[in-house]
Amino acid sequence: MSRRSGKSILNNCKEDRQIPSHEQQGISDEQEREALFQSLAEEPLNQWDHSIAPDIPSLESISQMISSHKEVVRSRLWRDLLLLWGIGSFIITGLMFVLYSSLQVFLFVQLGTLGAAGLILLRASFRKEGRRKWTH
Amino acid sequence: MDTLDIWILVLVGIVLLCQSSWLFIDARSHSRYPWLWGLWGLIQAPTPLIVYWLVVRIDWSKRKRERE
Repeated sequence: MSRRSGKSILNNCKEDRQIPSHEQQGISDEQEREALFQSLAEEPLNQWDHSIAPDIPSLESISQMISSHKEVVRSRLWRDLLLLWGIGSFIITGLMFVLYSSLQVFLFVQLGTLGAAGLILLRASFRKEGRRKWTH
Repeated sequence: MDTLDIWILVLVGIVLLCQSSWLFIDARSHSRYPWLWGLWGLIQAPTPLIVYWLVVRIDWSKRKRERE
């Protein structure tokens, strides 16, 4: 969204039309008033413009910020994935031992996991949406 | 336990790890509970995938609006 400066507010575009003679006197008065206003207010308006203008970051700095954040997110993803695979190897090995030792316990574990996951999701569906982190 | 059983176990382990990894990575973008989906994906298959698709990926309210 572009911000109009004080100077640009003064420079309004006039419509392209034929101006009747009785309006020309009014227009020249208006032009005189405009010129007087510009001579009086141009400098302070420019100063005010510069004082309130925000610091617009350069494209390079924004690209640098995005790439550094992507790097942080990528390293965090790899750390989480390695942790998941480590935990996963224990869980899968344990499940296979349980399967070969007792089928009933294995089925109990499976049904218990299904029930627990269902309960957690049901509870989560009743909670309000929270603010999410930027993870991608 | 013969060779075929071992190969089946290895294959099941690979499938579970792949499922879990995919669920975890996708849930980081679409859900508040990526660890829940990742851990569930290690234990069962393909129930977590189906439930994930139904609960997280499908926008039921949008579908309801489209029908109306």
